[in-house]
Amino acid sequence: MTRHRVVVTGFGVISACGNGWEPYWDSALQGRSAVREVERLKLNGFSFKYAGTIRDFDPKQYVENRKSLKVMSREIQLAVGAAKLALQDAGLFGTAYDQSRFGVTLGTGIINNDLDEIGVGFKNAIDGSGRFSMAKFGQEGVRSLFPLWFLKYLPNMPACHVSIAYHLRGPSNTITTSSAAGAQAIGEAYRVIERGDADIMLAGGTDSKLNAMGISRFHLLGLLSKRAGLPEHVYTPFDERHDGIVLGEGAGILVLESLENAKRRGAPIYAEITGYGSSSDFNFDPRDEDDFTGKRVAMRRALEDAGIEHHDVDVIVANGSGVPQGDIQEALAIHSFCMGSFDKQSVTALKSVTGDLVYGSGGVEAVIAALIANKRVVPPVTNLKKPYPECPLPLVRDKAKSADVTNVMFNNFGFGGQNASLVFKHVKA
Amino acid sequence: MTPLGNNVRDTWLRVTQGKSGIGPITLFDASTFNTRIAGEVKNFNFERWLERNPPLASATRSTFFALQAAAEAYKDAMLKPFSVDSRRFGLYFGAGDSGIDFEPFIKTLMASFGPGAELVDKGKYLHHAPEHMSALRELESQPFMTVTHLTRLFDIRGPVSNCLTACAASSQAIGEAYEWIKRGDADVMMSGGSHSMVYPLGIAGFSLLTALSTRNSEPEKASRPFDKKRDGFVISEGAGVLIIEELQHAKKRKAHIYGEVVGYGSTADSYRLTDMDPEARGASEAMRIAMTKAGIGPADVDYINAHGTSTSVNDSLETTVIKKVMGEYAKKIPVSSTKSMLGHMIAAAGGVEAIFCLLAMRDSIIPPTINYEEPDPELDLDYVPNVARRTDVNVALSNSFGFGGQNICLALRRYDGA
Repeated sequence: MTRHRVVVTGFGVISACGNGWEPYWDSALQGRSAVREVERLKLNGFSFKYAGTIRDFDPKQYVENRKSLKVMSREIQLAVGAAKLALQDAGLFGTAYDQSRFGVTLGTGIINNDLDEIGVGFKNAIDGSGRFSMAKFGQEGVRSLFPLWFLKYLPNMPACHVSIAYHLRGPSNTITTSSAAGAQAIGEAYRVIERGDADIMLAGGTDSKLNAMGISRFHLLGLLSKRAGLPEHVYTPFDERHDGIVLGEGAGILVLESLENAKRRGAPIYAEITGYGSSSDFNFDPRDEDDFTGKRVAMRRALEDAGIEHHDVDVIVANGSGVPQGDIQEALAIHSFCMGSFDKQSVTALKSVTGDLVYGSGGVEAVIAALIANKRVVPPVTNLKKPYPECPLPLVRDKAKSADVTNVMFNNFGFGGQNASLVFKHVKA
Repeated sequence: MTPLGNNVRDTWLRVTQGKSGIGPITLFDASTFNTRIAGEVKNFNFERWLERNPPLASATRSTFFALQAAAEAYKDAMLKPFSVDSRRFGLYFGAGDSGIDFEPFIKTLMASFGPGAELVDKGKYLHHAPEHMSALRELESQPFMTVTHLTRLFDIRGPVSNCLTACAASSQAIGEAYEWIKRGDADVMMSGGSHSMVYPLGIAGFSLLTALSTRNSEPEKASRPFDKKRDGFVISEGAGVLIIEELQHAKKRKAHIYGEVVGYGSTADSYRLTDMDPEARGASEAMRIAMTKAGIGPADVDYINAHGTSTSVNDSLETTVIKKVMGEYAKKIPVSSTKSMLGHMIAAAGGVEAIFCLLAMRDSIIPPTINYEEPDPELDLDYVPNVARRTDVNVALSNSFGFGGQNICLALRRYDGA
């Protein structure tokens, strides 16, 4: 079976850093966090102070069909927006590509309902005694909901909207493996091109948990950081002060393309994707500090797929969620993966730049991982002052570091125990 | 796990007898909903699982269905702990999401209607949520948790993924699992899917889209694919799990082989969100790709398990698709929709339907499309009306078309021993 080589030819990012990959890359290089005090949500004193909120995204700039906007949740809008930016960056937007050889694979999760939108149905189901009545909900409640309400929240809708907006008729998939979904979607799209089922794929992730249901769920799970301080300094993965996640929102989409196709149309190539591995953690308890084997196995599989050895890896872009157990597990996994010796590797982590995009994190962070392979510069871990002693990794601190980068390992690990790793390789101009 | 039985044997027996698993909704009080019928899984012993696995206490119905079906598949494939290299044993699943944890959500929401400009006071919601909601149940409602439990309980340490492409999810999972094995990433894969959308917001959502049958007075007659009086699909629930294995690996351990996965096509309609493409290019292309990969032509196809949802549009367009792809053979190929008996298990549908294709090969019997009473003049294929048919099946296709325009076709072939 012929295996096609797959390259990265475009990036589309919408995040708290701004629109397009450039402001995101710039923030990462400067070690500048886009986490701010929360403005958009009025939370009436509930202590949720900081987030990587997108401030200047106007969906109308990205969605031509205004009627479509009504059936798009924020996650869908962000995906359609990032997809447009990616197509533009790859020089594909508005060109005549072969639609049947062009597909999309996105990582998404449960899209949370807008409480005001769904709330109407429940408010209209309150009976005379002031209680919720299922009998009333079945009629008046249901009838008062927006008829297409349901369509805004199905997890496969971001990929469907992207395929409709840009006429992509090739393979379409939606991956829902927790915070590993974004990288896994990229890995799966890579496979689709590798085996010849498409020439080009849009791949990445989208998410926004900056809504009441999302915040509530993360709060209940005890995963959120409780620290106070300067907003841009509060999110500190791998630092001794790490105490949890600061949420962000956004979408990151890569254009993956067969090498032949990219060459044929003379597209600039950012990097080659050469490895993908996935696994599930072997123990059940996500808080088990000793269970790093699943994570190591995902990295090993990506490495073997790329046909390289651990000492060929120059940079590891860690998942680094800032949840102490997760950071420790990952540090152990990386340690064990590198067999305890880091002769030339550097490790960085990106979540403190934008906040944690959860199901969408793999999409945006993969953009930086591919850019590291492209530009041979490694951004520092933003907000890393004093590394947590149990995470003894060669973390890049304070400022970006130039390095002779050939292979970049990118980790995206989910809190449900799903893991995905990718390898991006430098391509000589 | 289906509305017709909690194992393959019972389900298949009733499917070949043309029985319906649809009845009134009992899982919640649906008495005032426009649609009050569904295909529910019955008499399932959740406690038996809980006794042995206390961490499942907060797991969803869908996860339990997946575990039960997976346990049956694992046993049927004669797999045992340490009988396969667990690092070469992978999982590609199509587990659906489980919706909102309804009761705690209502309690929280009722306490959060505010006097302010916005209907729901978000601060109040966040304050009240911990009083009513359970962290573990919130975690379990996430679409990856089914996979988390499956990998743990069946010691699956190979590559793992979960896709959720609406009604096409478990067919897509099987197709991708097949690709993983072909590529050499695993020797054995567990695949298929599980789902339950028989909950108030699930019924409400599809009802508002006018996709559901409202034939409440005759539940068993409500799902009537290809019949002129079809008026929508019937939601049902369950799981269908398959063990897919590299041929030499299966031979070496002398496993029973039901059939071979020979082709998989995946396309998008890229048309409109709420409508299927009237030209049905995407669906036709998915079938063509699956057949090309399988190296088969229309003359080779003995059976098509249709997506056949019983909605006006799907059944008419699927008929068009089959005519387009099969040409002069279209009317000769038996096409049936087992959704006529089981309803639509959404993400889990394709897993169960792939199993039926393989059992049709084993038993030389094609399951019927029941409730086919009045032909629709435009829909003129051989839908295997009402009664199962004895005939050899060597090659079968299984169609799954997801909401939003995602099309999957699987090609399966009887294993000839070579």
